[in-house]
Amino acid sequence: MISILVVSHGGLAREFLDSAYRILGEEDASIVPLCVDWTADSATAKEQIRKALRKAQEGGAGVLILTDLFGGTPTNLAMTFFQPGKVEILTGMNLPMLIKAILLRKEGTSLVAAVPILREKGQSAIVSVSEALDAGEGSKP
Amino acid sequence: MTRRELVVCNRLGLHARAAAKLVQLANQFRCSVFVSTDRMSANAKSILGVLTLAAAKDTPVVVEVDGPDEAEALEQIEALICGKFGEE
Repeated sequence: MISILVVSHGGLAREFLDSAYRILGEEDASIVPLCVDWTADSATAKEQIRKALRKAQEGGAGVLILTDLFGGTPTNLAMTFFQPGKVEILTGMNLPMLIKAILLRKEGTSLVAAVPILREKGQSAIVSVSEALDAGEGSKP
Repeated sequence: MTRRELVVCNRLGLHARAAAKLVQLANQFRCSVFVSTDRMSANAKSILGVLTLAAAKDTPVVVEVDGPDEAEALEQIEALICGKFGEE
């Protein structure tokens, strides 16, 4: 079963996880939110990620790190731990992507299989309401 | 296979927590459960699927069940939806 770390600026990671748990109706205490404080120096934050990652790696099935923003400090720090097939990173997480990640973990999906599924889910979950309504009700004004 | 037409009648529609209740209930049964609006159909055992229905209050939905315990599933799902998901 893959391990999951959720890394973000501020309290976003915790709030994302809290929302996902409320929607799913159950918590998964093994998923770790890592909230990189806005005022924390990068060495402290990197050490925080290193410790959480080491613990997550004990699962043995690889670690998925979900981060909030490509190019941001939390992602840049997480990227220093990237190991193809072992520590994979997906940036630009959204709530549907996180929910799907929790479900895939529960189903026992491998890390290598999970990454493309989650990227696709994260992207397809972005919906323009006007386009969605047009597609379904094309003849309506 | 059995199908039944229902109407989502709670004030908030099939929002996240209501969808979660539906998915949890559907997963208690062995039969397949699909919910459709006039726009799309979703597997009622998938939270992300059910949320994509975006069924607001007064949306008609068709619940379709298929499997050994379908009668019981349909009865409980109807009770959940018509009971406004226990919200009101």
